[in-house]
Order: sequence, then structure tokens, then C-alpha cells
Amino acid sequence: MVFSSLNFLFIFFPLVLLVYFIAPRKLRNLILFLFSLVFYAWGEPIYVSLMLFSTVVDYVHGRLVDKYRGNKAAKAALISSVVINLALLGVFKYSDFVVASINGAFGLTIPQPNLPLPIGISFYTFQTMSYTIDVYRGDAKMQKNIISFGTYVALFPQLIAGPIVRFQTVAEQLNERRETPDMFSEGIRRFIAGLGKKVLLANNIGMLWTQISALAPGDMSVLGAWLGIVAFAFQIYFDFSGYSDMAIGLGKMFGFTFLENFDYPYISKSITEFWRRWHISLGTWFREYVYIPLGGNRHGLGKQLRNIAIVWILTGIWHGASWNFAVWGVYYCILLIFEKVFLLKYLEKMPAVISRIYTLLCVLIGWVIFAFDDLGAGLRYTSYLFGGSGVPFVNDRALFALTSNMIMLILLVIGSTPLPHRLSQRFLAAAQDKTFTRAALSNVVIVFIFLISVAYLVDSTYNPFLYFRF
Amino acid sequence: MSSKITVGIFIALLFGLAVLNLAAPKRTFSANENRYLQQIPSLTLQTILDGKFTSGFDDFITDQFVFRDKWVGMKTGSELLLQKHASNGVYFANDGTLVEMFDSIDMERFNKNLDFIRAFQERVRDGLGLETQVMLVPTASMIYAHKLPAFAPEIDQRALLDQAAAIPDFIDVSPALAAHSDDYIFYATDHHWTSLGAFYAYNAWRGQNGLPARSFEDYDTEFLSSEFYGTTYSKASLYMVAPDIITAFYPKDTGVLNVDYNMGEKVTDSFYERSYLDVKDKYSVFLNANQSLVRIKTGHTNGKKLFLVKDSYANTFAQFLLSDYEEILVADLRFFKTSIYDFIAENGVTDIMILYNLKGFAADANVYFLTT
Repeated sequence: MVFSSLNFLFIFFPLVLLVYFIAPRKLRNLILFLFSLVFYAWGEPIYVSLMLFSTVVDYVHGRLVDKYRGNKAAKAALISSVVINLALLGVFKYSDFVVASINGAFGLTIPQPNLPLPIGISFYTFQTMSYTIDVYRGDAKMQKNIISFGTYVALFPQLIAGPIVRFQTVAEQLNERRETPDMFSEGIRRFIAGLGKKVLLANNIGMLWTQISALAPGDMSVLGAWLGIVAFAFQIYFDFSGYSDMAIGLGKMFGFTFLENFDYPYISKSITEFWRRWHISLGTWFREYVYIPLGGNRHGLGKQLRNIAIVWILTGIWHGASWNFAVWGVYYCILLIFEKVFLLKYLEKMPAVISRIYTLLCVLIGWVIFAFDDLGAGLRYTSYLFGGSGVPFVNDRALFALTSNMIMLILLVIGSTPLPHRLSQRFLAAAQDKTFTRAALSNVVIVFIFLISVAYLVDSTYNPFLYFRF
Repeated sequence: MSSKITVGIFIALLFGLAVLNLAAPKRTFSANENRYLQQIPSLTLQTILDGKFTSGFDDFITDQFVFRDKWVGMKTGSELLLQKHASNGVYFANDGTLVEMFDSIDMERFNKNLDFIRAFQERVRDGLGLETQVMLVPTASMIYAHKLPAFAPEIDQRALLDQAAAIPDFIDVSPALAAHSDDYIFYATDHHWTSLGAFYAYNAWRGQNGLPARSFEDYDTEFLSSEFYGTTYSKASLYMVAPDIITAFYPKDTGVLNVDYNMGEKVTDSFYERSYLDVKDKYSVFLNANQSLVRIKTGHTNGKKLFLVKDSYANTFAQFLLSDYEEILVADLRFFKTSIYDFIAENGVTDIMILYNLKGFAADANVYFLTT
């Protein structure tokens, strides 16, 4: 199930709210757990068993790690947990890719397993791994109650597309949390903001990318190519950050506080900054569980560069089982190293406009690599951006796309900056002065976004979730 | 306090709509969108495991959502506010007409199709001494170009027509249509031309054949439907357009008709199949949709027998030809797979016409069957 569906909004969600808040506190984790299983099984009736398997594996390993703490057996349990999780990921996500690559390299014809990718497997395996590692390191206490642990893994708000909630973030909240009207209303605002980002902004501009990426070379132009990749950049940002907003908002309604996952990445002044603002939970995961254990920056520049390279190749491949994602990771690895050893100090001195343009250009080229599974197609598209392959600078098709999407593009640009958030905060602060009209008025916007989103869902021809494939 | 108001409003909305949804009666057809709505899917172990139940249920909830037409209207309103100029291959023309885009073409196929026609013309001329007239009708996006949004990325239909004009006996109806480009000659919600559009083209055809032009007095007209929502309406999902009117033109001089579908499969005395007026696909009222072969005998006894190879544009056009022939044989190459040459030879045909719309013709994969 996805949040941006009428099914979720008007059947699943009211039901889970009703049952959850009627039930005594003791049963609330169990209720969340059971509803989460239904939520997952709705789209994956068979693979839900896989998620349960991963849950049981890490529950058991967590206990073992705790029982044999300080002992070699604890380390063995930790390694076993990591191996099992990575094996799950390897088999279900990467087996086709590995087989195809081996076939390609050695001219073999080993049949591909063709396993469909279980929804959210990249997210929940990373979460369950974080549990065992946190317990091993003493960053979090072992969770004795398997229901509470299951709730952590399956928790429907963040189950299928993140944020990747590390166990230590919610360990306490699983046992003790308070749902309050303030948190609930904050959750509502956040959820509706995310819903609007996804349904009204991402879906709308996504159609432009779908059109342009499908154009024949003869219909392409420089302007059209830029419009296309800008559309993709907006789509993936509003799609994914909208999903994170919805997850964070839903979490709040049930008394959970997840960490932020996006912080206006498109206003960054360097790639280094961009990756501190984009998919923060993934970056944190790799830093905590890969980069720092490898030694981080503590053993000299050479080792540090090696560690950065390892992290970024893994980050690339995490995004998808094909070569373009590996190249995408390497691309960012090179940019980040370049910035670290050389560029960053100049970027900081430059006018903000220039460093922002530099960053956005790099990010857009990155999205081209990211968007095309076929590296050749990505290269061809890149050549269109710079007037290669004989494409004209502009044609009717590009001008038509531009004029037809002008208002939407303006909204997207504004939406990518902190401006709407700042305005709404100021408005909310003003609403605190207890005048009823202001309080009511601040809700009008929320209700409006909600209703328009529902209208788009009722008549939806296009509603994909990009991060579903991860 | 402020928080509780927000919570109250949201909960009321969520539960209010949820309850209304449960209580609302389920519909089978949406006249607004002109399509059938999803019903509740069957629940079995099989449908659960293969995901058919859940996906069907998702569609069921969406299709049966309470006040569906109001929501859809709200979306339409906001799309218009956003100044969108097109959706799903359909332009929003400035007078509310929904015009199908013609923004890409397979030139190789178009040229091949022209070659097939040439080859066919030569063969029937040499073998049977018959001439073949060819009419390729430009679509609304050319004739209504002045109504389209700026920078509409259109194929140059003029250039295609010029290229086709090199074919012997080609009839270019575009000047006749262009002369009436502010009239109701294409449907506002469908990709076909109206009977009026076909009438102007018919007069152009008469002119080219040295016949005097016809006037409206030569016909009895009838509004067959004023509730027609066609293909561009369904594609654009922009539900604020008035429905189209379908008009029949009965030539006053044809006498009693005998219309025979697919060699006796069905015989009737009307050019129009009225049962379609009660369903979605109302354009099919002309000549009973697209049939493999229709044999129409008119009240004339002039010995003229027309073989018409066509797509659905000709279904409207053919009502005017009833004035000119004793018998009309209408073949649709998508379904008619007999040898065309033999069929013409065996049936004593005196005239041949090929009629397609330009866009359909450029993409048609069956023109090849002309050469069989």
C-alpha cells in the first residue's frame, strides 16, 4: 500500500487510528505491528514472509549479542546477522545484475533468476542491521519484546521508502512514548505537506520527464533536454522528500520522532553540502556503519579517500542493481574528493550564485546518469544537453513544454527553498495569539491541500513512487 | 487549543469521507468520464496471492469514491488554473475544443503506404481499366491550428498532403475544410470530423469530378445524439467540455437502402446503427462501427458501383456518396483480408476510392493489403 492512495487515506488510516487510540497503551505496539503487516502484505502478499524472516533473524541475533557481550561469540553473532541481511539483499536485489554482468564479461549464458524485487527490502534490511550493530556497540539496549522489535522493523510509516530509522533513534520511543495533540497536529501538517508534494508537484512534473525522455532524437533540443532533466530532478526530490514528510508526520501522530531526511538540498552551495541535505538517513547510515568503522578520517588522507570511495560505490549500488548506479556513485565520489582536496575552499569564497549554479549543474548531470539504466542512453542524453548529436538549440516541442509547465515550474522552484516553510512558521506563530480566526485560517491551507490532493488521487492516471525500486 | 482544532478538522474530514464512502451506493458507469467503473473484486486465496484482489480493490475504491464527479471537476479546475495546454496527447484549444495531437510520424511507413497506393492504382488501371481516387483528410490539429496553444509541436500536415498530391487522382480537401475552419467541422471531444466537415469535403470531391456543388436543401438532417463524448475527451480527462452533437445527413434522392454487413451477417435498410447511441462509442452509429465489408444498395439505377477502401473517417463521408452510386462496397483493410484485386474484378466495380484520415493513414500497418 502507499500513502498516496485513497485506500490508505480513507480505509486503512482511519481504521488504524481508531483501533490504536482506543486500545490500552500496552497493546499499541502490537496494533501497529499487525496493521503494518497488512500494509506491507497489501502490495507483497508473499514477500511479507521475507520481512518477518529478517525480523526474527535480527531479534535472535540481538539477544545473542547481548548474552555473549564481551565475548567472541558476540562478534560472531554480529557478523552472522550482517551476512544474512546482505545475503537477503544480494539474492533478491542483485542476483540478476550479478549474473548478467558475469554473462557479459565471460560470454556465458547462465540463466537469470528473475526474482521480483521485494518492496522496501533495501530499507528494512538496513534497519534490522542497524539494530544488531547498535546493540553490539552498546549504542542501544537489546529489545526483549519481539512485538516491539517487530514494530520497529515493520512500522508502516517508514517501512517501504524510509527514512532509514536507526534503532538507537527510536529504541526508547518503542517502550515509552506519549502521543499528544500538539504532536498529532504537527504530524497532520507534515503529512499533508508531504502528500501535496507527492501528488500535486512530483506527479505533475513527472509527466513532463516521461514525455521528454521518450522523445525520438529528431524531436530533441538543447532546451528540451534541460527541461527534461530539471523535471526529473524536481520529480525525484518532491516524490522522495514528500514520502519522507508523510512518514515523519505519520510517526508523529503515533508518538514517534524520526530524524529529518531532507533539508532543501537544491539550495546547496557545494556537492559536499548537497549530500548533507539529501537523503540524510542513508548518508548517516553509511557514515555510522561503514565509513567510521573503516577508520573514517583518522588514518591520514590516503585511507580517508579510500574510505570515501568505498562508501560512495556502495551508496551508488544501493540505489539500484545496474551499472549506471555504480557509475553515479563513482561520479559523486570523484566530485566529493575533488571538493575535499581542492575546490571547497574556493567555493566558499565565491558568490553564492556561482557556487549554487555549479552545484545544481553537477546534480543535474548526476540525475542523467541516475535516470537511465542504460549508460549509452545516458551519454546520448548528456550530449543533447550540450548541443551534441546535432540537436537544435530550441524547437516548438521544447517551447510548448516550457509554456505549458511554466506555472508548475515556478511553484517547484519556490517549493525547493525554505520560503514556504518560513512563511507558514511565521503564520503559525501569529496564530498562537489565540485569536480563533487565525487558528482557523491556518487550517484552511492544510484542508485545501488535502482536498486538492484527494481530487488528484480520485482522478489519477499517473502515481508512481520512484523510490519503490530500491 | 490551536492544535486541537487542527486535529478536530482532520479527523472529521478523514472519518467523514471514510463513512460516506462506505455508505454511498456503488455505480457501474460514469457518464461524466464516459467509462465503466470498477466493481468490488472477487476475494479468493488465488486473487490475494497473485495481487489481483488488492489492485482491483485499489481501483474499486478510486472509481467508487463518493462525489467522484465533483473531485474530478476540482482537479480539472486546478489543471486549468495551472495553465496546462495539453494532456495525454490532446490539446486544450482556446475555444474548449479538445484536439488530438499529431506530433510524431513514422515517415518510412507513410512513404511505404503511398507506394502501396501507387502500386495498387497501376495494377487496377492496367488489369481492369479502373481509376482510383485517393482522399487523405487532414486532422483537426491542422484545420483548427489557429485555435491551438502557442508552440504546439505539430507535424506539418501541409507538407504531407503536398507529398501525397503526387499520387494520380489525389483529392486535396484541405482548402475546402480550411475555408470553414471556424465551423463545427470536427468534434470538440473526438478525433473524427463531423458530418458537416465531411459535407464540405464531399463538395470538394464533386468539384474535382466536374459535378455541381450540393446545398443543405438536398438533405434531411437529424440530430442523432447531443450527448456524444468521444476519444479526446476520454484521453484528456478534462471534464468541463460540453458534449458533441452527431448529425445525420439523409440525401433526399437515394430511395430505399439495402445495407448488408459482412456478406449477409446482418441486413438492414439504414445507414445508421442506432443502438450505438445508447452506449459510449456513439460515433459508431455511422455504418455500424468498422466492419470488414459493407454492401450498400441504393435506389439509384445508374449502373455505378463504388469500391471504397477506408478508415473510420469514411463512415461519415459515405452517407453523401449514397447520392452517386447504385451500389457501394465499403472495405476496411484492418479486417478485410480477401484479395482486393480479385474482389474488385469479380464484383463489377466501376469506381474506386481510398479514404483515410492523414494521421491514421501515416500509422496504418494494413495499407499493404491493397497489393494483395
